[in-house]
Amino acid sequence: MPAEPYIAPMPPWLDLGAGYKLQVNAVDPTTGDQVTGVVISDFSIIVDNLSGGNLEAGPFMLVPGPENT
Amino acid sequence: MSDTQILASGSAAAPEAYTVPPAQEIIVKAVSATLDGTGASGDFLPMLSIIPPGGVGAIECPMLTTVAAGESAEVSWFPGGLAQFQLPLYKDYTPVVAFTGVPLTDPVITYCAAWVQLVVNSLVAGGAVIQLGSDIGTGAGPYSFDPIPHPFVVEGFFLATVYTGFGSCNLGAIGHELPAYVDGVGNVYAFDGTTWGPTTSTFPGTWAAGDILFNGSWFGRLVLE
Repeated sequence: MPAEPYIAPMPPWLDLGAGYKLQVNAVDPTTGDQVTGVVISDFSIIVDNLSGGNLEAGPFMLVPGPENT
Repeated sequence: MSDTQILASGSAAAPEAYTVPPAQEIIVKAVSATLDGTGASGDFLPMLSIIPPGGVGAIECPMLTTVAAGESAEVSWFPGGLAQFQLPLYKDYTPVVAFTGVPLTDPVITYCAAWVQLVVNSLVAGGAVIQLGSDIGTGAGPYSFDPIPHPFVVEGFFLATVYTGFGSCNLGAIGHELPAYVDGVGNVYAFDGTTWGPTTSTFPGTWAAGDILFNGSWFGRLVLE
């Protein structure tokens, strides 16, 4: 069954420096506790890379994608 | 500089995280992920957390629609991606703020003169506080704000207030403890933290002039076509 598409809010102008973490999780709607057994894939972050350096040094294997032209 | 994509390879059990590497500074434009709930232990909300380096004061951005166990979701987070706050496009309607009463034909304010206003700390206006409108009336609502020019799109932090400006009054049922809501055609909704639905509160008794009876606030977008 294909995944349903959804949109969700996030704050604007997230200017993040070293050490900030972006985490995706699955939580219980009532308790907020983590729901086990959920598998995450295609975790993608679109950024304006202000420092212009290498973005490959994340906690998991990261592959910078093609830049917009 | 053009935007760049950071993409995690493969898949892994939730949670998944990306930490901004040393000497990096990024502006996050959007985040997306697919959450496969085939083996989920229960219904779930996909949630994006922005966690500071110290781990304290995380910004939590849950999707506001529950995904049933066994189903999957492809979620896109972005500023303005306020699906549950996004209002439909309306034409030729005057925007209305309703604080309680479902539907709007129910008494909102009874036996009272009150001042109702809608203010937005608008992202569109560069963070300036602007008053969208106000209304003064007696008897049952709804109180409307007219005119607001169309087309009209504003996004930001909204504050709605009911204020007894003229003498004492007796309010049989008014107000709402939950974030307020705006609707162009009389549909009334309230947000209880998870879902939208009707909720009412009562403020019995006599209220003196100058009492602020209700402050409702919410973050979202108002769109009028």
